[in-house]
Amino acid sequence: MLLWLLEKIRVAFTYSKDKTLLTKAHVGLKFISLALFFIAVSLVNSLNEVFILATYLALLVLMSQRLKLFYESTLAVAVPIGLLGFFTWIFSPYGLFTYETFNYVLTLVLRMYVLATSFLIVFSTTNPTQLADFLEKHGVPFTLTQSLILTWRLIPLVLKDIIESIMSVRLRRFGITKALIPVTAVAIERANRVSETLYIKGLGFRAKRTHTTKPGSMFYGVILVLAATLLLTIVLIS
Amino acid sequence: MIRIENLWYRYSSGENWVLKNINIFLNDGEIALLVGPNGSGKTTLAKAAVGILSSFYGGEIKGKIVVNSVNILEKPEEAFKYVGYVGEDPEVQLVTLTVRDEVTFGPSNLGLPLKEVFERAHWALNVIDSMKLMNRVIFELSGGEMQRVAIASILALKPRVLILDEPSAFIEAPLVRKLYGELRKIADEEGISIILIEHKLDQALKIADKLIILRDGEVVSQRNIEELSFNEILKYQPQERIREKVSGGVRKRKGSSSKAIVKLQNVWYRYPRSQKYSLKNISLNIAKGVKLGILGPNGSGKSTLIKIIAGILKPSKGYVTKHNDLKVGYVPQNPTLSFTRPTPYDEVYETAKNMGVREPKAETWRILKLLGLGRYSKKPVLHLSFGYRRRLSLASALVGKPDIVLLDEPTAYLDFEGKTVLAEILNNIAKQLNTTLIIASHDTWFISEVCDVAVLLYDGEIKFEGETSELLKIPSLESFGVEKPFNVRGHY
Repeated sequence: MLLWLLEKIRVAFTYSKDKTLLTKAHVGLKFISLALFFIAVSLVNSLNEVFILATYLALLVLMSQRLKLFYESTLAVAVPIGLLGFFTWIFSPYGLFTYETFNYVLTLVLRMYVLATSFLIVFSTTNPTQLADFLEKHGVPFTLTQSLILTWRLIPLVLKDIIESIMSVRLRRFGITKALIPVTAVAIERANRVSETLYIKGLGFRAKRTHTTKPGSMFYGVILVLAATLLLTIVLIS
Repeated sequence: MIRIENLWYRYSSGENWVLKNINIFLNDGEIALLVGPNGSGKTTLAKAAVGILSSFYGGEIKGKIVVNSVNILEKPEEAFKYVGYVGEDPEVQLVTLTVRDEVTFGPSNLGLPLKEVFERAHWALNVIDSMKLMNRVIFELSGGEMQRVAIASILALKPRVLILDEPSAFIEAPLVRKLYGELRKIADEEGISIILIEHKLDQALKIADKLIILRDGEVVSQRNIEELSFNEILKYQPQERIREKVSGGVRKRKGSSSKAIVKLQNVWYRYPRSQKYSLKNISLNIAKGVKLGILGPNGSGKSTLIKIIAGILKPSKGYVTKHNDLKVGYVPQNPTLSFTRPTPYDEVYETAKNMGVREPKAETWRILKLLGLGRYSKKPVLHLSFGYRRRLSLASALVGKPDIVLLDEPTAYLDFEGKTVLAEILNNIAKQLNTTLIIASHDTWFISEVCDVAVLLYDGEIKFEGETSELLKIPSLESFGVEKPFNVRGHY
């Protein structure tokens, strides 16, 4: 189960380069819309409003033009959110089988689900270099933007290491928590090698870097921002 | 041009000098082949030349490394402009998510105009004949493709000196030939000096101008290739020895009549976010005691097949059947991923206890000695060289007396001596423990030394299955990206 879950999370974090409306959308506007959506989700407290917010997720799925992305993101978040829902239900102050409990748990689970799935879909359809270039043009230091790219690059690799390490220790009948030891050792070695590479490739030795990517289509970006703004307005009004 | 003068280096943790009075001179457009056994200081020397040794590892460094009149040791921050270094593991040297971003990353850091950034990126990819990779995602690339992208990303910086650390480790022979041809071209046309650190010498000797031999941190020989006599070159090209071993080494298939302990039926596998299948309709019966080699070029699906058999990956379609009580030992491509204890002794002993081995202490010592790890038994595992880490990973996999041991690219980064020792060890183990060995490798020599049966994988499909000696007789073997072992000559 753990390996299955890790594999699903790894897949969900893997960059999809397919040319779709979502990959074409302006990277800055894409993340602004996600931030607005995050605010809207954190403000809702009724089931009806969550269903309204789910239209943003539907828009992302539509623009990603890949139902598979939605499916893979759902698989990655299903277990953690399911567990969250279960424990919220068990420890609910309203009793186990009351309307308030079901309403509360369902609202929480759906809020988490639309937020996490939307995040993963946006994440996996964004080229981090594009985002880094956009942020650097707006004054964010390269140390921060490059850390972002590297984290993006290394998440699937570390998850792959964890899976391989768990298999290796399990075949020798160690507890799977032991897998954290080699994974940490490899991650440290990897971090050292990556920092050497950045040094060799001259990162940080010039005050100004050349930006090689364009931020993307304003039109699709504006659609996303408008959708998120509209949903936030609805939530604020209601 | 690079001039290394009286270079000494020792790590902050060590008393011994790792590099001792190194003196090397290389003219513009010259290619030097730097050879030496594992642990002789080749990579340390390369890291010194690129200015990262003292910045990252501390320690004491003395001497001079001069490129374009700049002493790298005094101005390490200038090194990246003049010296490019492609290290051993290409995967960690790729710091972005797409090939396009990777190859433009270096020139972008130089702050060059956008047009020049792309001109350099196109030039670098063209030089190593990899323009077709431009729009690919890093995750989709095979080990060999990653290696080429790593080289292109450094070439795009247009260094005056290029240092390549085992560029052939993950590349099959025909591609190595092509890559070396390109290296000779850029040395001649662009005047770039190249230092090539290699264990496989046959192709490298053809393009090199100089041969530098490093042993225990010292340059023991530095000569122009044309000064070397035929016999001296043969010393570094032991093809005759290898040919004898192979021709005398036709082995009978063992266990072919016994019942299969692992059965793959119509197995297909597709990686997430990939359009094509990495394995296509693989059916295989693996019998007890057999030594099976999985041979094929990069990206043919060898590691994927090993992971399917190990149970790390689940087939997209088809079935893998194993006996319920089957004990499986797995040696991953990166052996460090299997270490849970601080020293080799603890690692093997804990495994022995977990696996219910009788007399775990005695068995631990037996396995450690069998694999030549006795004197390193108390050394921290992270201080072991890559070759010894692989041996330890193998020791750990073997101590529980598994029915089947899976090894993924066991020869990567091993020198010829290391490979010979590993081949002997595996043959002994298979004989003594009657263990089934499954080895994925693109090293035909190694497979022919160890395995009695082999499958040839190409583009995810099995193109041949049978005795290794029969596989080697296939006239069109090279068209599948696999070189015959008597051509894999010249190892150091």
